[in-house]
Amino acid sequence: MAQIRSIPLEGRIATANGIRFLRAEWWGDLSRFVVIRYSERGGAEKSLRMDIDKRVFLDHVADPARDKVVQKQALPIWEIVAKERNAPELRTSLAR
Amino acid sequence: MTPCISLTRSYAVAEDYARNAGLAPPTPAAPAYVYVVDVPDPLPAGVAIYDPVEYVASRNRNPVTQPSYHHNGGSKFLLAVVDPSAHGALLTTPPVRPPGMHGGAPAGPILTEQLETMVNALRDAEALIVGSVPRAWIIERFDIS
Repeated sequence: MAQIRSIPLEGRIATANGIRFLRAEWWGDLSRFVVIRYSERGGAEKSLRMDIDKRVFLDHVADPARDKVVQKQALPIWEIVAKERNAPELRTSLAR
Repeated sequence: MTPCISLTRSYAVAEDYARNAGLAPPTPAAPAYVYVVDVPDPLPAGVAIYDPVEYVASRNRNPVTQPSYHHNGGSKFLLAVVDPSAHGALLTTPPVRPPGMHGGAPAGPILTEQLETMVNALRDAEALIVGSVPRAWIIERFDIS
């Protein structure tokens, strides 16, 4: 069973166009991939994959205007993840 | 968006994508897959596969123009391009300049899209196929969970 680790993002990344970033999750400590969970206007949780070595999202939001807002947040999110991913005291774990 | 599908010559890279680049961890009930593809050589007519390194290099042949895939950082600067989480400081540390050369705001080394593209393609042992992979080319599938 994979151990999912996470870093909270809520309140740490500016909300724009109703898009609220919630947390970063990953299950491979040596992997460069993380999943960013977010919600739009308080709706159901959605996900975007991020390549933390490329510092970009691998996915796009369907609406181009909203996607532009989302893609702009890749770097600030990466800065948090890169700093805290290898700091065990700053992350949480849950088995899934 | 891209009209291409990314292939890799490295099973290790493919397995990392399969295992870790989904929206949830793969499980025995819902595994991820690595497909082994046998690409004919020469390629059939109408099929195009690009090597991103060759593509970028061949379109930036003049080493004295900008943009270029050359950088002006130190010899370890590429570590930051490959692994910015571990070596990110190298992206913003102003490179050493010749004695007496002053002026301009201090900035990190030049990192162009061309260089990033080439480094990332090398990192992933990547090739790009335009369109889709013909089903007949798939010779094996590994379940990853």
